[in-house]
Amino acid sequence: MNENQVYRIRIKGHLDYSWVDYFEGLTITHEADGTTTLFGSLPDQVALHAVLIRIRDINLPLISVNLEI
Amino acid sequence: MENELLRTKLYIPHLHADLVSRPHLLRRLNDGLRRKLTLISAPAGFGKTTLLCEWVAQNQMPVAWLSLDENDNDPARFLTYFIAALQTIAPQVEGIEPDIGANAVNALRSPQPPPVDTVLTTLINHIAAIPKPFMFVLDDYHAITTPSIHQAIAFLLANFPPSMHLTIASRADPPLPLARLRAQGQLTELRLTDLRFTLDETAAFLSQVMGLKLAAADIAALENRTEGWIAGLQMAALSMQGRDDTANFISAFTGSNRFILDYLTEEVLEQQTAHVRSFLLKTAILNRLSTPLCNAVLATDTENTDTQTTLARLEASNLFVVPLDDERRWYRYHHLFADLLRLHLRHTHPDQISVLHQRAFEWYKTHHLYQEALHHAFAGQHFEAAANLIETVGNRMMARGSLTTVQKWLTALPEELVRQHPKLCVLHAWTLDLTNQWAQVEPRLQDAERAIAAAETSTAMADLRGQIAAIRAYDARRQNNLPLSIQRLQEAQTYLAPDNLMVKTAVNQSLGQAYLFAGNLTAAADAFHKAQLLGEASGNALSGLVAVGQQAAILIAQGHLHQAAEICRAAIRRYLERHNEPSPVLCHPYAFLGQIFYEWGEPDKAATYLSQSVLWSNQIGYGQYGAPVRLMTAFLAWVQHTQTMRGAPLSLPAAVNAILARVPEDAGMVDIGAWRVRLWLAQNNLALATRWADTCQTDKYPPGVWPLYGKLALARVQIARQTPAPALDMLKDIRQTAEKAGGTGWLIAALVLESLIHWANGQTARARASLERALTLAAPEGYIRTFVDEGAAMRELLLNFRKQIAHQPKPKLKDYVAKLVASFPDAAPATVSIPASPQPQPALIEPLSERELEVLHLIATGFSNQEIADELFVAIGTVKKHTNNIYGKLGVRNRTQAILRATELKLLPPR
Repeated sequence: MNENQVYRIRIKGHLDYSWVDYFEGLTITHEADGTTTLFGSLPDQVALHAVLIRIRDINLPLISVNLEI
Repeated sequence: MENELLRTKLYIPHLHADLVSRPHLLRRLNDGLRRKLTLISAPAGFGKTTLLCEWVAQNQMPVAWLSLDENDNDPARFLTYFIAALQTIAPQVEGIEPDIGANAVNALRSPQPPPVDTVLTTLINHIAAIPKPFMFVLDDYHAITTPSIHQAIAFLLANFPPSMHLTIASRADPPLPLARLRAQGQLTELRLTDLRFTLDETAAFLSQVMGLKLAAADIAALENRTEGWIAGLQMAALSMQGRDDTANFISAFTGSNRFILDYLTEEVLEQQTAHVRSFLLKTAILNRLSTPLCNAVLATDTENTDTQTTLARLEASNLFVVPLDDERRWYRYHHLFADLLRLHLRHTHPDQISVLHQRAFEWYKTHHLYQEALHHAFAGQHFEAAANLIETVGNRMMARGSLTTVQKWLTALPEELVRQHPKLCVLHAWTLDLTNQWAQVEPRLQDAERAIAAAETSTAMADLRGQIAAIRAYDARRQNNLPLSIQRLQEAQTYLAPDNLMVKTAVNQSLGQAYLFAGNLTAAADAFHKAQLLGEASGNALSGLVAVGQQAAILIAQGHLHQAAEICRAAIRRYLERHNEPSPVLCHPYAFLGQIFYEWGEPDKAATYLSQSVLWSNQIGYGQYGAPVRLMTAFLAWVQHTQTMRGAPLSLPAAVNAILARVPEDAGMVDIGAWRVRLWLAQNNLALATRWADTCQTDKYPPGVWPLYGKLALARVQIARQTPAPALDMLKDIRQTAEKAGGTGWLIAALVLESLIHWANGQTARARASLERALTLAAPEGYIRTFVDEGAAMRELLLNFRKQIAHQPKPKLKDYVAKLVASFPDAAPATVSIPASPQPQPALIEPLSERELEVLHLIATGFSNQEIADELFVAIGTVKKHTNNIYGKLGVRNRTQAILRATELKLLPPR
């Protein structure tokens, strides 16, 4: 488990940029195919799980979670 | 106030007047009642709670309901609420005590709560006694993240009481053995695909519940866009209510890519007046809303009735506010809506958040709701305020069992802040010590000392020094450094503030134990006496009574039976004066009174006290207070035996007999084993007694004098093994130790055994000398059974002694001897006969092995083959092999012949 890893998370729908605080400073990008990409570095996997729980809690449809090499 | 909040967690949420009924789901839920667990696992906003409410309303079963939140992650707190929920159904179910689990709650509200498993086991037994089927609902289970709570629920599921049905509603699958339950057909699941609204349900909702007139195509479009997500539909409907251009809204909404919650939150908030919008955003930080609390947070005049009206309107308009009690004192936001509001607040008024939390903190603090207050202090980053509050209430919370919570608070504070507050450092050291994180304790104590040095001196600091010394004393004890431990405990005593009852009690308890180990009975009794007074002063009846029991035990060892009885009786009187009714905590003084009355020759009275004590102890049923229980159970078994032998068997309640039958053979526990050994020897079960003696290696005994009970038992075994010489050596050793420590009780017991050995060896003068000394010591305290239980041999010796002193002017002694002689039953069977000289096993062609001798004894006692197998922990086939060998070696063909032959050969004592 290395520290400070970069993640790319894709969700369905366009999420307003104002949600950036809710997602611990991950960047929000609207994709042409109607999805949104959350992208950025998190200190560890515990932080990743916290982000995933927030996604769960507002019922954001999750498409994928990738670790950027 | 605290009770008010508790009730909101137990409140079964109110059913809305209009909702979309879901009969097909209700059918599935009802069908699931025959399985153990119903799980409703779906994201937020799918109507889990609403569905449960509908189910509970149309179902006739009693329901215990517990709404969980992230503050319930302390296992002790969780269990307390669990029990509180159970208590709510007591009025509806006959046969369940209204205060079910009250003992467990008391146990949990102590500085060192018992382990969760122990409390649960007792609780499960109580639940199993509930005659009517009932339901237990855990709502919002995803809030629980503590592994030990998950383990507790898994334990509950594994030992499931038959009358209970458990339902869990959660946003995520809980980490419980779901796969196993599924495979066993014990799980009913409702998931997202089950809970989302169908097209029909969507139509019903929009038209009947929300009063919208929409075309079928529009309804379909909305259903498609929201994918049946109920919260989404609700917000869309709210946005459309009172709008003329619903068509525009629908096309804009369905045509947009925007995340629907995003889209709709703005829409819904747009529709509200500025006043309501402001209200919603500011009060969103609260987990629960009441009028006074909202007014405090809004900083409006508390007489203002606006808030009350606003809350009522929000509830009426279905705008995501849920009432938490029938009186409409407390509400909360639907969790999803609250999350969104908070987010919006951060976006629109970020600078206000800290202030809002501060106001909430102040209100909760004023109302003594510390958990909630600190939640807001931390949320608003008011660390200084949090630190000050924890300093004030931390000890109190710990004394009431909230160890995990306090620890969580302390670790949430910035490190530098903790280091500045010596009281917080010490508090943290306590939590670390009590959770076995010992490596971190000393650094914290040094932080505390540095902070004390930097501060001004005052009495508060002195108390802290006392606590630091106490914590270091525990460390010394762990390193087995007894003298250092005692020294530090004494140091702690000089520094501790008079009102620091909790720590002072703990210190005195530890001192008592330490002195016992060091062999200083008087100092130990003194320390326990102090612990008793402190326990009583702090209103902790149980700890006070435990200390009374400890003193009684010491007094009995010292041979002060009357004094021991008196302190027990006085403690019981004091308790009844205060509480009117007896309760299980009295098991401690009752136990020792029973022991004393038995010694005084009142076996029926003794049995009453002892069996009540045993029953009560099993009710309390937990760890560290369990030791006297096992001791008293072993002792009661002994009393039962002696009375049966005298032809006056005890009549004990069935429950007590069940307990006596269940008790396993405790090898190794010093004073418990001693009573068991007497019983085995009396039953001629030399095999078991010998096994105990062999496993009880004397050199591994704990230090101090308490092992003298065990050593006396060892001496008995040596006597029964026909090796009187080592027995005499051991008894001499016991006498000297006992004399040195002032343990007259042990001394009398040793003298009695010595006198019997001398008597058996024909050394009459020495026998009489030992006996006279024992009698002189015992007479003033009324000892009877210590002599009488030794059987015919003692009777003969007493008669011989009486003849000897017939012409001596010793009236008191003569009276005493007469009384003893009269106490023997008419046809006294021998309990342990002490043979005069060693009897070698006469030559068999092939002697029996030790194991075979064991089996032979058990056969003679009447054990069946299965019982022998159980007794010796072997397979029944092994037992049969042994018996065949025995028959072969004895030259017999069956049990009866074997017993006869073995008696002839003197392998068994004559019957």
